[in-house]
Amino acid sequence: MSVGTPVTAPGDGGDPRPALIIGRPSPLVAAIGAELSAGPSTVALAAPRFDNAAEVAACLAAAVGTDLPAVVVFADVDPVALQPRPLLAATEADWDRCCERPLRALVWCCACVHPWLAGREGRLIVVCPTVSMEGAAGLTPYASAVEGQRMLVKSAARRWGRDGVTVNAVAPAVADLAPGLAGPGGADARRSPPAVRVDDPFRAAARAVAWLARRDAAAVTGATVAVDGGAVMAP
Amino acid sequence: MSPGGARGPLDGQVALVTGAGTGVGRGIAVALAAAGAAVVVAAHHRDSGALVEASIRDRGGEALCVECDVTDRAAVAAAVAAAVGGFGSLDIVVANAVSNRSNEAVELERPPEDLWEQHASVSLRGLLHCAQLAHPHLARRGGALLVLLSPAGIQGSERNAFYAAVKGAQRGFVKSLSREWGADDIRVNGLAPLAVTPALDKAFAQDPTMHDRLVSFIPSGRIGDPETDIGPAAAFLCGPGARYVLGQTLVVSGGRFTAL
Repeated sequence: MSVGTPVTAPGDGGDPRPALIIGRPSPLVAAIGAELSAGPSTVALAAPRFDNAAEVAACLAAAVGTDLPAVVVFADVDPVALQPRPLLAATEADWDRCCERPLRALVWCCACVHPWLAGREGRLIVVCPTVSMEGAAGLTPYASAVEGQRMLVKSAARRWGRDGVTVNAVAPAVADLAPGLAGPGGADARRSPPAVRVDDPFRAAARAVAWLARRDAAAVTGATVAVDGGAVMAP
Repeated sequence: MSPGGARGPLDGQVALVTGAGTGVGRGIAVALAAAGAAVVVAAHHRDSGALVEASIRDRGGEALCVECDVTDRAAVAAAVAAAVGGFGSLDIVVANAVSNRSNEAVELERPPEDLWEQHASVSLRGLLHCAQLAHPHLARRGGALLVLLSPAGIQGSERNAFYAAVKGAQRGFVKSLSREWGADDIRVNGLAPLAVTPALDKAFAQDPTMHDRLVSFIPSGRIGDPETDIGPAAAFLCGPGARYVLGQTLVVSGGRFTAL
């Protein structure tokens, strides 16, 4: 797959559902793409810079073309935001990049994708790592952003239910997104041990995304599905 | 010493409350003073802050009003300096300031950029300013940073996604920073109130049926009072009784919100 290039593949119970994945290239985005491509869906990828609303809209529109998605996955994670740093050392620019920018990005994407999803049993799925649910020293700006994104998910779910759109979050362990976080200096990001071992965390997250994307998951909205092996078990 | 001469749990403590000119901020400022703290009343508009200062002093408490726009880092620094200069230390910061447009409805399908900037600048950057600038004074003395959250930041909001988002972000901030600053002997917690505020009064005026509708969902049968319901809960979280409480959100809503 490449940015803006749809691929076609068999699957989702013989029910074609064009999909769009928003996010810079990463193992997680690749895994979600592979999982969704296992269905009879076209999957487009878009990696906006998130400079402003117009840039995001143009990037998404170019990626989608005329094959409007009924499933949108927001899976953008800035690796810089996953580098632990004391809050006292954060500049205003750091704060913007790691906290406010991810929030603006999701706000802009929500505005873009709603017309595509409304009235089509649309699905919006946002990747929100578990770091926001339990917190992590050194990741305060990013944890703030993610919990804000989770509230955007819930708010959109409440608002767009009348349009037949479900909005949910999938929450991998943040240490799985940046393995260095599980080592010295980043141990706080995996303080709670998982109850079960997750061999392929990206595929596990992708499978949860694929399930939430299905039409028969219509009753699930505003939810956060943690795929961290039961580490956090937040309410 | 708390007003009236009795010893209070916050005797000898110095508190800075942002957004203290009205509503919940005012109620918390008055309650902290009643518990014995000297309070810096940081208000966006000096006039409203001065009224709160006078109200605390009239009851025998100690207070000092400063004009403070939390989006301005220098203004927050000046407020912190006023606390240390005026009362000798800073032990408690209550980050309560919120955009004065926080009650505006948001169409997430057509998000107004200026409104987002309003929310983010006050609730996110303003919180960053308060935390960073207060840290040297709160550290190693059992200091407390209390962030005013909202049930909307726990369960989302159909009508006001921006408010829910920044309040949720603040909750993520509280959890992470409590883990980061616990080693500095600083407690970071959140309080999510349901209380009568000027914003809520405005909403009631626009929709006369809203008050009774809202009350019907509150098991205690009334909407909380900022001074007598919310303030004491804030004083508890900032005081010695909560010295082992870190990273938590206390929902004070008369039982309205239970799905934490």
